[in-house]
Amino acid sequence: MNKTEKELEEDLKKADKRAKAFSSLVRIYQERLYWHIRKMVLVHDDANDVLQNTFMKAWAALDNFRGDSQLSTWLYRIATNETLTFLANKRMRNSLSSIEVEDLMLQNLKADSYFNGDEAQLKLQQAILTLPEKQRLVFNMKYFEDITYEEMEKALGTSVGALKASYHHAVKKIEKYLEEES
Amino acid sequence: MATKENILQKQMGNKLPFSVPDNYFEEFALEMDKQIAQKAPRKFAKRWLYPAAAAFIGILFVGQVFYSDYRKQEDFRENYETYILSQVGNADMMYYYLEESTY
Repeated sequence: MNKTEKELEEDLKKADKRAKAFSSLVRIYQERLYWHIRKMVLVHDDANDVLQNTFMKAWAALDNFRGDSQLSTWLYRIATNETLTFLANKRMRNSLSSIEVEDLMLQNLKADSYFNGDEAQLKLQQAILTLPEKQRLVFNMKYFEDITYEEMEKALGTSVGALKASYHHAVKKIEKYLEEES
Repeated sequence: MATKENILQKQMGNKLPFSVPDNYFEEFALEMDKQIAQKAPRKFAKRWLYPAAAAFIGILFVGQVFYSDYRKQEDFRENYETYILSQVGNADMMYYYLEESTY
């Protein structure tokens, strides 16, 4: 843990410095968390909502943060839970199956003015959407961010072995999907 | 030997095809500051909380002192009247009422 993070942790424990320290925390981690969420929900507006929820949950739960893990790991965990909750709520609100939700997400992605990918990138996103949510999470973290399995283990609470297997299967599924579609 | 993961990355790349509105992160951080300011306990509330509580307890204490003093005086007055009446006989009382009615 670097000194800045340690100092930030100390300030977050003090009532008179908490708001200012939290403001710094938002500025340090907002971008990383945003992309972590965006890769799952795809559309900017949804990512923005989930990111806000993530920080508000973190603010409310600050007293529960004991410093057993790094702040970044703790925030990743909250962001992941918020993202999965958001996707589950979306499915329930629209009374849709997971396949229908994926179709809806793909339609929304095509319409999103902040999607600037080409046909191949759209195909890749389509292939990623065929994965179960947790496997999608693992794939995105490894493929796009190259996060180590050890870091992922801390954030997702899944063993390194299981994560490796999950990623390997995800790659195989995506390749198969892309082959069939081409 | 290239792994399957590497082949996929070579073919598709791993650049995210997403963007964000201009100044999004700066504005997001400012918006979060506003939301946190609404949630955070206000400093003036904390600064005045203890003196206000102390003043309230003081008022209660002074009120209690005055009230118990008042109660003591009331009790004394009631006891004194009872004592005086006990010292007056029935004949004296009859004489007093008869004398009152003649005026």
